[in-house]
Amino acid sequence: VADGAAGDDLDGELAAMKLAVTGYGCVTPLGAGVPALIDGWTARRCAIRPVRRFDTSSLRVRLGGEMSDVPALDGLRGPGHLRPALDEAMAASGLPARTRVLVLLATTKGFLESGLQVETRHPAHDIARPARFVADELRLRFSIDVVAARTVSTACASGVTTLAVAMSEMDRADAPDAVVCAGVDLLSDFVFRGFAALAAMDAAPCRPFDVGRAGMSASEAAAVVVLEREEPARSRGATVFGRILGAGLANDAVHPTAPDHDGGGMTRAVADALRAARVPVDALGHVHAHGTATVLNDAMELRALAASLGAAAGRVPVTTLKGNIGHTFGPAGLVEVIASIEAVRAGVASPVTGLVRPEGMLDVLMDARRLARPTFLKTSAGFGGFAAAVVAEGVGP
Amino acid sequence: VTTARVTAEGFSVDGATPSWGRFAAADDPLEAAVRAFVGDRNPRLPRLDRRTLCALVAAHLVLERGAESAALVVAVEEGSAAADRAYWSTARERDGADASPSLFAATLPSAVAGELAMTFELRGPCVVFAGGGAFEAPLGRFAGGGPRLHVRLRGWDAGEFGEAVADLESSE
Repeated sequence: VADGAAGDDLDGELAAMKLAVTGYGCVTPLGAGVPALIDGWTARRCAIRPVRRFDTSSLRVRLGGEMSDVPALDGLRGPGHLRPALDEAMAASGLPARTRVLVLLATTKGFLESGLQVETRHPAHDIARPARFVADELRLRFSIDVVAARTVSTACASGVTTLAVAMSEMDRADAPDAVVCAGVDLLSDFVFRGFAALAAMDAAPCRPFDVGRAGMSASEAAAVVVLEREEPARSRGATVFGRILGAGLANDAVHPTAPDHDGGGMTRAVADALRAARVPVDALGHVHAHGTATVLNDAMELRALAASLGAAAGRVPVTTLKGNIGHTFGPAGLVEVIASIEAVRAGVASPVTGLVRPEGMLDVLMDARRLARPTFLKTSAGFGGFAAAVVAEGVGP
Repeated sequence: VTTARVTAEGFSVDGATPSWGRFAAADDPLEAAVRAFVGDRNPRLPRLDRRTLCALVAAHLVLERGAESAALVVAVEEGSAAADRAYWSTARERDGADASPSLFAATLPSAVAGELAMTFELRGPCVVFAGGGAFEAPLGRFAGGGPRLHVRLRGWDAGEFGEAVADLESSE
């Protein structure tokens, strides 16, 4: 693993396949649109603030990341955030009408806004609703031929898992023309009280990879990434913003909520992603880590990255934007892949907001860093032992 | 393909008539079966919901027939509606002061997959499809071409018992 040598035991076609990223969009607590995300990350703006949407006055933790208010669609808040993310991605990709598209939707709780919706069998309490919403939007507003819409839910690894599933699905004989990987999760009293009960949140804005970190900041986002095969995408005049080169999935098989102390699952996922991408670790320009800022996750991830990167561990810059927007759960991996592609296109990776005293021997960014290489590794992990990794690259403008 | 099915009538393999077999006389045949099959491998059994227990029984019945599974694909058609209600009943009052952390962890649709992975030490690729249409999701190539354990759960939102089906497939 350390030298990133390509293995021959993986499916040849899958290993050789790359998917072009032809569009993306997002809404995060830093604002609507990819520029707002990147501007905020670059400026080290922290959007983790006192929660407005539900009462936290009796809780120790009162901060979270919230998207700006938008008009509800169909009586729900979630679609109001997902629609502009989809519009931004579709405008960038220019997917023509009648394109055959598979929708993969990453989420942990769908459009759920409140625990009360659980009691009343509210329409928001249907985890497949966001996938149907994206499919309907694509059909009705863009005349896209949606071949299927599936909900992928591997906890906080869901976003990166959709990219892995997309690579798999595009490798089939009956593959669609494109995959729209979308993600959404909302900050709710349902989720907030649960993480409070787990004592997993910091009372202050989260501090990924800091020795003094004390937990994550719960947050919310909507994100969309459009993936196609590169040749047909270029031949129709699409801009290729980046490429997904390889993916790896694994499970710790250790504990329902705590990660494997040694980072076994993430190490295996990273190894598989590098092998599938046929990318040696020395070719990585940066790592966009999961970096939730919980004591256990970050320690696990530091060990897993040290093991995966081997001799290159101290040379590959590591960053994450969770210090800016908190943990957005299902869509987190998609938001972070978007941010890293944009970082490569700009030639600069932004540092970890909130980081004062880095833990470990990795090169976790305290300051902005010029990127020497376009290729990056994105890691994710989630409750249930899920680990997911992709190797991707940004393509300069 | 080897298929195991668990319903309120009992468990069966490869289309046989379902029954609880030697556990039929137990007060709770499902609980007795899962304790006998995997009790030594999962100390959390008393805290798991019946949907997860059925999934464990179904997976055990196919995995005991030989193959180690490299990959796990789980389809949970109803998401986690019942688990959500169980957790929220502890979290709704007193601003969540009594919220149960273990019940909260079970509200993820992927929690069943986590228990399956831990119980059977499945450390390979693991994917969960949730909600309507989850059953139709193809297994895909992310499993790397090795054997795949495909567990499907449905009907658990309507009553005490639904259905758990496990297939062990050697290749696509």
